[in-house]
Amino acid sequence: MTLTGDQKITLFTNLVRVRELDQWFIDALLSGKLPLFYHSTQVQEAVGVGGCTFLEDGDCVYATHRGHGISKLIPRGVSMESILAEHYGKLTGNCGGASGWHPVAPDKGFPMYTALIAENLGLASGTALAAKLDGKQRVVVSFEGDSAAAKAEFHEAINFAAANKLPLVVVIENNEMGQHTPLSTYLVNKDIANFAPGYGIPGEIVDGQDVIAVHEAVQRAVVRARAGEGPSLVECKTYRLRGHSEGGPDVSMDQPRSKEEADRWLRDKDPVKLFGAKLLEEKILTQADIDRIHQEAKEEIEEGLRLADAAPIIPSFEHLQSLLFAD
Amino acid sequence: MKTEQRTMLQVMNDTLRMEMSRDEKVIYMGECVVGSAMGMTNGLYQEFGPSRIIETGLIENTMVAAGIGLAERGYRPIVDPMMADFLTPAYAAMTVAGKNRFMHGGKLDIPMVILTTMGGYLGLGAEHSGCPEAQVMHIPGLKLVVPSTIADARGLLMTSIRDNNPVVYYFHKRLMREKGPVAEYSDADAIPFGVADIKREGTDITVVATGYMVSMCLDVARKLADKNISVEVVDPRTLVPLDIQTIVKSVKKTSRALVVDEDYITCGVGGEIAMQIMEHAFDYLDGPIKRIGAKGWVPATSIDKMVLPMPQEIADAITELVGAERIAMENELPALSLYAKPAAK
Repeated sequence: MTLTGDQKITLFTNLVRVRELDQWFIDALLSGKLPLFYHSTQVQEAVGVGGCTFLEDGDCVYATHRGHGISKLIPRGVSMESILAEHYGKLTGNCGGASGWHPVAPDKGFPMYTALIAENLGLASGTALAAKLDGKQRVVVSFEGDSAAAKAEFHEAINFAAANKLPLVVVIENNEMGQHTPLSTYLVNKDIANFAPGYGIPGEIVDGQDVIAVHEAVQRAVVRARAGEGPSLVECKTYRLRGHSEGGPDVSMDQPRSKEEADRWLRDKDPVKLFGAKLLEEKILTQADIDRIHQEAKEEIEEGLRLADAAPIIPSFEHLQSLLFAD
Repeated sequence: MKTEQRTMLQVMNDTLRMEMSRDEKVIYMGECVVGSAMGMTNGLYQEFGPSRIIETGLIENTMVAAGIGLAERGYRPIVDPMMADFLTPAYAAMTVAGKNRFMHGGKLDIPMVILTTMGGYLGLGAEHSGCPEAQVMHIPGLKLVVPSTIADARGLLMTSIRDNNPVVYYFHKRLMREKGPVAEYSDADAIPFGVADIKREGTDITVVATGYMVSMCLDVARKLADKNISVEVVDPRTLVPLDIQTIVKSVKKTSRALVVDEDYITCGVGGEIAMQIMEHAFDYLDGPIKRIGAKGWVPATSIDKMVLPMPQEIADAITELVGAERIAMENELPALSLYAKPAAK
């Protein structure tokens, strides 16, 4: 699908909103204003934004821990307030404050989440099986990092989806790092899309810094899934700009990661800058528009924070106990 | 009402058929569920088709995870990995099943059943004989059902399928082909969870037993009755939720307690129930609580009785607790093979 000018502005606005919220999380965590932890998604935003902005209502997404899912949640209409409230254990959070950070909002098409890497693919295959049985042409887009491809659950779930022609799109956000371990130590096959022929499904490699390219690749897979032709694997090549977790070490094995390399990515391959420059060139946006979009995102965060602040926390142990079993 | 002699498997097969007819969201999926390995799903594929009886192959973790995915969307999957031992690779997904509702603020429900066989005394060895009950009890958010009779198997299966939570349902391989008189299916057969059943009343000692251990303890109790030892046998039927009140009430009456369970004894069902009895009825006890369980991995062939609870061991524990002389038991079980074909006549 060719995007209109307005749709491109939507993509850009989503990139900016994710970037600004990510920066807010980093600052809040490092200044002691945020409990928990935070796993920044800077310069990886285009993968979620490109993959999720133009999905349909009723489609489902499984996000990852990176950015606590914000590059997927925000394009699909999950409010900053509910994301922030969740991080402060507030009842108004996405998960009523009980998860702290899970990218889950069942009413917005984020059914559930587990922090066990690649395990979400099994859950997603079940959601996709439900979609197939419902017969309503809904698709499930499940994101995983590169380290998932070294796990049994990854292969078991994708093979199951392929064998049953499930409407599942697996998007690999390949940032070449699994926590403090570089991809080269756990994958001989560094192009994860190359696993696809083994499952008998299409696999595609795409520049994860190019939000339009990601959008188009994911949409190709979505169209295929919606038509009942089964799953696809889309591998987005990207880069982890910062450490695994804010405040923790930024190392690869026992060595500090290169600051020069990170600076280069931020200068030359930042998806927000790249797409902003493209929209300036196409005269879809002016610099004043871009400045305004950043300013509005900051205000959205402030407003979300104000509302989250005012919300009640989980009141008691009895409340927690009541969450365990359904009636 | 008409009654006839039927096996536990036949009754469970019928129950599945009725529940699947009653609710089109009930789906049966797993390993060898079309060409039924145990006979559990005989005829169901032909009746309900490939969208209700789903063959997954041997993907234990993904079949449970996919079951969770289906359940969250409003289906009621029954996931069958064939044997409880084979759930080992599925503990990741089972843990997620237990946590899911809690960690997402109660915003989603996971109505699913993990339904599979368990148990030893068939000579099948260390990887086809397990009763991994304690591992399930230890995961908050999972219910655990362990039927000991054909009627309980049916009533608890109905409740399991209708429950809005993840339920693990283990039925014993040694019991599944035993026949008993069974009335026709009725909606009133559903047995609520968390209600223990006193399988035999007695006054000298309370024996809490689960699964196949219930019938073994009842046999022992009948023989000890001849020697004037009165044994009460309490079957919890569901280990989560556990009806500790009924157990405690029984212990307050008898003042002595033995727990017999087939899972590995360390950190097991017996230890848990014994501790809960201590917490609720310590002052009523005339002596220490005893527990009997598997003493290690179950070996193959008939030497499995070296490891698994046996009638003499149960009788010895009882006579010691009540201060009676040792009573010799017939310490053999009837030979049973899951696979032997009767010779043609």
